[in-house]
Amino acid sequence: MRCRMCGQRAVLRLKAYNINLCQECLKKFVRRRVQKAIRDYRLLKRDDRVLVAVSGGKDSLSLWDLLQGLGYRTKGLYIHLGIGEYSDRSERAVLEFARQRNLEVHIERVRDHFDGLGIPELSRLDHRPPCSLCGMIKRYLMNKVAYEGGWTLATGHNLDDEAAALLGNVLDWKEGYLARQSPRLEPREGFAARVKPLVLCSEREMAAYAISSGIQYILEECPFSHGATSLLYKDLLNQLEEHSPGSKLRFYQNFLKIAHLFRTEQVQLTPCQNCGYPTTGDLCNFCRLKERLSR
Amino acid sequence: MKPLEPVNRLLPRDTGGVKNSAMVVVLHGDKRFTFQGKITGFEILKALGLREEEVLLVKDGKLLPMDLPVEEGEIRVIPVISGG
Repeated sequence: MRCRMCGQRAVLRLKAYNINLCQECLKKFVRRRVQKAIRDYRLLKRDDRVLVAVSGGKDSLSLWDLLQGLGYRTKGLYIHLGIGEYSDRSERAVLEFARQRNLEVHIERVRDHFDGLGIPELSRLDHRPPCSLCGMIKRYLMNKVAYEGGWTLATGHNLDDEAAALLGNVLDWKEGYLARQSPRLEPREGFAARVKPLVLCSEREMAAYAISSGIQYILEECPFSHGATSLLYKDLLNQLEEHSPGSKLRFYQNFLKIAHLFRTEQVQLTPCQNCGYPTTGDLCNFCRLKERLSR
Repeated sequence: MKPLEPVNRLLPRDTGGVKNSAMVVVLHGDKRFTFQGKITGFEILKALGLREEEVLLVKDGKLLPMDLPVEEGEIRVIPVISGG
């Protein structure tokens, strides 16, 4: 198996593109895919300041590495979720990555916002699944830090993440979610711009990039992710991919061509009475959770 | 790709294996498999029932060329699917 680009021995077969790549050319390939996403979907401008949300996993650390390598001004944002040793190990991976490259990282701790409680305790007290709670808190904090600092927020969602989310949204015809599923969400009052530069790169390509680049990411999964529906969707899509290479990419890219059909009028938002960030009610979900816990 | 030879190439660790001959040890999560004789990455995936899209094979910290026959050493199976 020879590399299509340089003729050296290939380490990765990418059936979706009908190519084999060696380790070095694979890194170039992923870099070009990211540049293509940035260009095609107008994700970033040269002078944008980019806040990269990092979890310690392969996607977010690779994204940080790629954006930094492409010359963007970046800073990392790590949110410590308070999920025992898992969160501590993730934080160490992020700090080590930043230290090796002399990069700056901002750390938010869920416990600092909820009187010492992390996601597991909050989930128990609020009788709510940990993943839904975690998603809400992360979205709020990521947006807050990015908005107040004037950053564009970049997340490490890859093609598999987006295709799985799309499959879930289509199965239930969640029009609101379909309307918002985009590689770029424009900034508006109370919202920072959000971009997903890895949407054209598969999960396997990103793992291969991370390993080839010597990025020390954590392999460990969040203990709450077992049995998640998104993993089932990813599995189904990979079965499809095996029989019909390129399916995931076609599914996602063709959706983007018609995504505008789902975009109707924006929901009317008002400032949260507590924090001032946009919400549909009097209080945003983040402040409502705080209020419930203080009772 | 050569078809897999029957079970004698896939020896569970506790069989003891053949200590003096070269072996390929494959670490997959908390499981450990030993293979005797030359084996390629593609054959390892087939033997373990894994899909190419879902894992990578790493030897000595580097991606293993999937068609390269390996005779000895330790190979780690790295899952690539994450999330929740």
